[in-house]
Amino acid sequence: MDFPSKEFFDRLRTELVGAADEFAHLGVFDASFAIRVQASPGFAEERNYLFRFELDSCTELTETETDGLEDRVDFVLEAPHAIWCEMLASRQPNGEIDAAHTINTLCHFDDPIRVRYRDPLGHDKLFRFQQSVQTVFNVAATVAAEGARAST
Amino acid sequence: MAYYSPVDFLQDEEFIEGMKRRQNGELSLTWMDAATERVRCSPQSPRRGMTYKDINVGSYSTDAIPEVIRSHRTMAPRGSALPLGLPDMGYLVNRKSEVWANNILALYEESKTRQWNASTDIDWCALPDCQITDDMEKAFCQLCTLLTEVEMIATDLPAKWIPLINHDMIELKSLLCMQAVDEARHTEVFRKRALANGVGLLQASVVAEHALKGILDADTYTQASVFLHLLGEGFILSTFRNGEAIAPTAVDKKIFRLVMQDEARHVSYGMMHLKYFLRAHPSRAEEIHFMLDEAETLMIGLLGSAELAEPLIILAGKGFGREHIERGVELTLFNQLKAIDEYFGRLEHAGLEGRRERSQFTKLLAMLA
Repeated sequence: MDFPSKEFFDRLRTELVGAADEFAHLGVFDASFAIRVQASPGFAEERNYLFRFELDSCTELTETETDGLEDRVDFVLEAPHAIWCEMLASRQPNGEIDAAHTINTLCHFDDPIRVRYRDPLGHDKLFRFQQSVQTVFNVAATVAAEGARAST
Repeated sequence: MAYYSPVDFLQDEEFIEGMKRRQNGELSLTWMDAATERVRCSPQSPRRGMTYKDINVGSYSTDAIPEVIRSHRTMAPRGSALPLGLPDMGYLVNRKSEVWANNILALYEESKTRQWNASTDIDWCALPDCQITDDMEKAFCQLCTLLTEVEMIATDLPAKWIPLINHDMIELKSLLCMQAVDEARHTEVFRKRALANGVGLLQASVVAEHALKGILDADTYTQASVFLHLLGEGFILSTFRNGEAIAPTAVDKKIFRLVMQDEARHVSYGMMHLKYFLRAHPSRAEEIHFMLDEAETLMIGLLGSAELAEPLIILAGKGFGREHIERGVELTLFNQLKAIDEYFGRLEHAGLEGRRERSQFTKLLAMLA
């Protein structure tokens, strides 16, 4: 299963819905954010994917336009394609992304992931819901791993 | 006994007669005629349950809190009928704009659902299997010592002010109670972490204690809030984010992810409170600037202290070698500059203009350049 692809994100949406208990345990997660997959060697065209969570459920996961994206979500996580792939490939046997590739680790020093935002309140949601955001990427890594297994 | 009833009920014949009549089933039922608003509230979302927003209606709503609360100084609930003879509880904060923010109701509901347990939500049993040298463990325990020392201020400060704030602001007081619990948990988790892996607590900090005293002794609630929520917790939030990025183990990273969630709520309230305050009192911006002139000095003392800066450098550089320390210094400076920039950004969002130009941080950076 290619990343990014419609197939990948459709499957991720299903898995996020299936992880409802885990999100519910973490608490209210009222936020919207996007990931921007930037061009890098072997990946020519930039793509953006918007995630919206209400209460503790994923209510939207769609590909979206770059223009004005920072105005439509609380924050945008932006990195080259190779970085997203490296992060997703770092999944550990316990189902979590490894310690060197947590979302905060990758974005705290503005390299390799940059956080874009308009409103400091929106930016702060990245931290208010940090464990929930991390869980989204843990689930994504599981989808990537299952996709990789299926294709071998 | 510090307070005596204005009535000795055992000597009050009318009161005793009333009790006797009730014992005989003769009820007055005067409370049934209380002239209060009849409402029927229900949850907008059954899954969220009955939130404060759902009951924020009519005379019960937060909109019903006057800017200056002149006549109601008791714990009688907002929206209830107030009989004559209510005492004055001695509240010192009776202006809504001196405590309020427009995100209080949502943050309170969020904070309830995002509580976690420092005993069971951290995989303490995995810690011994994590590979970490004794020196790195010591650096981490020094950081935990400092964080254990400073976190409880955000419990003590709201605990000091809650009884002084007019009870009409019950949602705000409830949010501050949640903050107090959050910070008690932070103190708990860092204390436990320091003691969990073979080292223990290390060196307490004189400059940290001065900063804490500065917060606790602030002249007004708003000054205390700006110092604590925006300056102090803003920088500690950055320290938590930095901590997650440089923590030596996956266990420690989860600790930082969980504490940063709580801290960010407090920062969010602080930013929106300052915004509310400055909209109501634009001429009092100078009072905030004047307080920050000294508060930033205290914070610089903490940020530049060996007890905080050095373990961060060691952890960021992942060692004690020359190259490690140089890398650690670089990353720690990056984090501090980012924290300062975000602090200015939050103040600007709140409507406090001119802080970058006047700030002690700006002067410090010029001195270090």
